[in-house]
Amino acid sequence: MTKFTWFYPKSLSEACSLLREKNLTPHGGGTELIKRTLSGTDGMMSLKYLDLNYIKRQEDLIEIGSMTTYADIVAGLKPEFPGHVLVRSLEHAANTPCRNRITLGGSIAFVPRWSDLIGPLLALDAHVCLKGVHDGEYPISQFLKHAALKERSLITAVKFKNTDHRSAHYREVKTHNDMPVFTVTVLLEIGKDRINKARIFLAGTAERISRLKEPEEYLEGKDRYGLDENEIRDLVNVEFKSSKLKDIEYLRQKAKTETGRMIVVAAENGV
Amino acid sequence: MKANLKINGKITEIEFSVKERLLHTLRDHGHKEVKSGCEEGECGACLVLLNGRPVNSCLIFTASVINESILTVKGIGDLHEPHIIQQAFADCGAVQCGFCTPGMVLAAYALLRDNPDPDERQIKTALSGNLCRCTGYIKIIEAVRVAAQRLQKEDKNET
Repeated sequence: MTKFTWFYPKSLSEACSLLREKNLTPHGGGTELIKRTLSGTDGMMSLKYLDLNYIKRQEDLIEIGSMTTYADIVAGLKPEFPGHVLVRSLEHAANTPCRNRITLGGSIAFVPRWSDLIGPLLALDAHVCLKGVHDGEYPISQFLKHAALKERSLITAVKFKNTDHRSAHYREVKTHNDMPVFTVTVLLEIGKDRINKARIFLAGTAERISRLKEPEEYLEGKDRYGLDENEIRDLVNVEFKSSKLKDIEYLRQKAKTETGRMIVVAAENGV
Repeated sequence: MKANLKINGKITEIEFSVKERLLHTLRDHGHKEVKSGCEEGECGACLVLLNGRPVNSCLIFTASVINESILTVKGIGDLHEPHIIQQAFADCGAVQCGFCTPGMVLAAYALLRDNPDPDERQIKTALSGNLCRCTGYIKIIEAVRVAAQRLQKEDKNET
């Protein structure tokens, strides 16, 4: 059995070589990894010397390095884009010390069911940048479907278009720093008071993440100030996994209500 | 494995296991002021400042923070020479059993360093990762406010 070892590559090429040669787990903030047994790997590869903690704006694109923490994403985007969907979702995720440690790359790699990040990234139609065996840029929806993409590859960044959007994000929690049972992300592109495009995602459903196409289609072309919350509510159909700890019917109804509410909030008030 | 850790400004070579959590390394090396609570990142009892930012040491592999700066509550003051924030906690009755206090004090320390005059919402956000099961939070928030006033007064006196 190989001895579990830590590696600290100083460059991306060194990191990629290590991933090809050994069965290593990339380490960002480690908040998720620490709960795992990590059996079956040769060790851990710390990414802390790879300069992957950044937010770059390139014309109409925003690129965020995979080692950027939730706190740094909020601090980097908020001054210029206070209503950005990532600001709305991540500034309330977990709690202050956790936001200082949880990284973008780690959250994408593990996609916890309760994730505050994946709904917004899907709504933004983000692309995941990989280095290694699967070198390239992949739509996040594709990345999430194909777990094999993570093998011997490193998530280096996420890119998305810098669209002028209105957004709302809801977390279903009992107390402020709870992990949400589900999250609702609404992103609307609005021109002259009409909704041009809507992207709505619920994370935490039976299929993990659900895109709500029916309300999206309904909203296109609608007057942003003339929305009927109850009408939208009826278009929301999601299922949750049954569990002794959850009242499924309550969650179904709550998801309908909060989705309707968030859409109206985003349309009328979203910055 | 062996590596250098910079704890409260002092670089020390420490031996720890490859999957060891920073919380346990610190406590095993005499830093009992770092408390072990939920060990899930919920309670903040184990909070330390890593490169100046509050983090839960229970969620950090020691091997991931070698050569980085770690500050425990003893690094800002102790019983004999308390920091203004520690004194404010005592004066305001914000300490009961004391288990959550090191984490609370460090969270407040990081907040007041970046924002010397926080409002109540900002104080609550800064302390959002710290749970207290004795006093409730009114006296703790008051202590942070009092500490902010005293620190500002001290700054004025110095200039």
